Amino acid sequence: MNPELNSQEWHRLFTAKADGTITPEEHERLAALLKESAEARREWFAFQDAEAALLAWSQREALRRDEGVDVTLPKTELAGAHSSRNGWLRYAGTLAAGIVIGLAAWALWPKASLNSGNNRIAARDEATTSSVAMLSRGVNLEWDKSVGVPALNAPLPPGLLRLKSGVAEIEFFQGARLCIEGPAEIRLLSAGAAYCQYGKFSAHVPPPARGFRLSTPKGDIVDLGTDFGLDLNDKSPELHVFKGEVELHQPKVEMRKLTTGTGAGLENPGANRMLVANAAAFVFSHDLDARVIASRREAFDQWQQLNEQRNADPDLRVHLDFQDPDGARSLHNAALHGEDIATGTIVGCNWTEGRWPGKRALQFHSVSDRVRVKLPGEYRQFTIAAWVQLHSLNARQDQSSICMSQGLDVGDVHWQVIHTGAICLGIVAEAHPHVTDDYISPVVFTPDRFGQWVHLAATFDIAAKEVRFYVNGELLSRHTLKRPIVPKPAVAELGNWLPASDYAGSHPVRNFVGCMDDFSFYARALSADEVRQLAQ
Amino acid sequence: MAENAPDSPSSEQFITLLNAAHGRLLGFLRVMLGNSADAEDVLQRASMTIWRKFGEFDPSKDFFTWASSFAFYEAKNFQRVSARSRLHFDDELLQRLAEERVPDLDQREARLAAMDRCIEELDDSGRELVREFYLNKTEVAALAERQGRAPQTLYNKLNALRRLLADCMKRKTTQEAGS
Repeated sequence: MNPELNSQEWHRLFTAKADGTITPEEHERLAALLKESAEARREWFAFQDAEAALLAWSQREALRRDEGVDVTLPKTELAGAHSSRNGWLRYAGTLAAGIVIGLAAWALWPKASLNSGNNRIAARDEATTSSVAMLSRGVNLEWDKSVGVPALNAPLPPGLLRLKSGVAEIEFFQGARLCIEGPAEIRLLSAGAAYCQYGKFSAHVPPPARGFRLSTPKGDIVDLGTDFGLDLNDKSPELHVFKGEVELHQPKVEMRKLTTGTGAGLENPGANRMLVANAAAFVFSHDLDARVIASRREAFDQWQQLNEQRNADPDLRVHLDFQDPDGARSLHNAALHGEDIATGTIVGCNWTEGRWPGKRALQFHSVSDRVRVKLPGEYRQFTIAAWVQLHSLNARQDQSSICMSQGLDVGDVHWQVIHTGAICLGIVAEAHPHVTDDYISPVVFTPDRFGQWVHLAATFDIAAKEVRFYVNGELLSRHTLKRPIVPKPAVAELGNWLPASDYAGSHPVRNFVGCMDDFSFYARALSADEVRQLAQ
Repeated sequence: MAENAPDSPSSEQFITLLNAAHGRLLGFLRVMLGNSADAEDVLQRASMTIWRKFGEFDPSKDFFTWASSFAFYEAKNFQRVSARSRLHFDDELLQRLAEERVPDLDQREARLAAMDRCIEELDDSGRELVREFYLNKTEVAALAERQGRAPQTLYNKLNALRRLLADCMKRKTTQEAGS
């Protein structure tokens, strides 16, 4: 074959693969080609680098233009323009690339701040976070509410935690993993140190986290890369070393080293009550996996039972429980009194796991992903609610749709996350030119909420002249109705927005990046109690 | 009470290493998955694993080599569960691509730099088309309508530009390698 033709055909196959327009037959040809020809593989690598370069250039270019337009920034934002410009580029570029490393990673990213004057994100100096650890797992957790209730997967700043009952696992950013059985009290000090007042603790310290330090009223334990248990509940507190070596520092006596299989009583410094390590006393840390699975299964069963009651609510018009079979392209409406409302149609999206094993969810990722739902009728009051897991907010995008009516007609309902992380419920009040009455909550989605399942609900009530926002079943904010426009959601999209079904022009991107595993719409403004139950 | 945290690998080091390896990890995943959206998606998932396993990382070793093995498995896993498309490379090919891509990545920076110069050589309308396409991939149709052209015509033009740019990049990198 003519090499020129060869390379032309290769390039055609490469672009079709990259753009997702490749046919199965072409794909087979491409795979065969890449298997057979080392030269084709080299070309394919170079092609992918070319694509990466073009994408990166386009993103930089878009930012440059945005910056060019952005001449109204107040002086304070422009101070130190050089460094903040780089910071902004890095921040936006990372977000634009959709990389949310989560956990600790955002800690070192520059913090975005809202310039309320023109609704633009402006760069500031690099942010610091005080987080030192995360709550990675837990079963039957009951925290002392007066001290604070950390969320699962949430970063934890230094400070006090008081666990009344249950088993919690904390991963320190330095690498140590600490299992805690309630009742227990612990104060996080840094990414590699904590102070334990009382409770039972089991630590796993991998080699890079060597030096992890647990302080207690009876002395300090410095870990040299081990597994050890600490029981402070007994009148005679004990330290057990299951593997490796720890240093025990107690006041007024010499430091002692304990090694695999040994233990020590801590009640009197230097008392030298030596023990044989007893792993059975710390079994809570070993069966955590099984208990986490069992408790998640229980939560799932409970959810299924509650659903039967919920679905019978006469005002429930739509309930999408996302429990449709694998590969399903529509979502059935489980509301018993919503028989006149058709199923939701899935466009794009990936099926994935929801809040628990067995709970299914849809992942929204690209600008095309969406679920189309019909919500016929007019509603002088309504409640809209969903379980969502937001993965990121795109810095170049003003809004991310949770559920938005198609178009901009009077009565259209636009429920969305705005770029600041606040929730907005908008009701289109005037069509030409279009005016939307927006109700905006305080900020909900800060980076520490990315990746967590969050229950969101909004109620709208013309008679009560009020809009309310709820997060995880708790009232977040109340807003007086601006105008008594009667909402008519009509055709709506979960996770996206279309200006009109036959619209072919360019329009702003509104896609949601994250997962959803439950959506409901009631023809009634639910009470605060009802919303709390819904979020259980 | 404890004093400061002892110095040992920390989240800060993790982020520094991941940031530094980010582009190469994406480049590594792209050749297996074929497009940037999937590569980013998989890297995001792999980053969680890499973070969790970071305690096992030996700082005297190369971070990219270590991290890329997690990325590789995440890519395989992604293909298995991804409902979006059935058109994936099989495991044998993935393995092959992964092995050869690692040494090939040494050329990546040179290619990126060359491409930046090639783009500057395009005329304004070409650059505009490239920019519009890579920022909003799904909207070639909308773009075509705005310019009053058939979508296929525009797509063909775009692909001709991509080919031109790829050739230019290749020329510039081989020139540099030769000089």
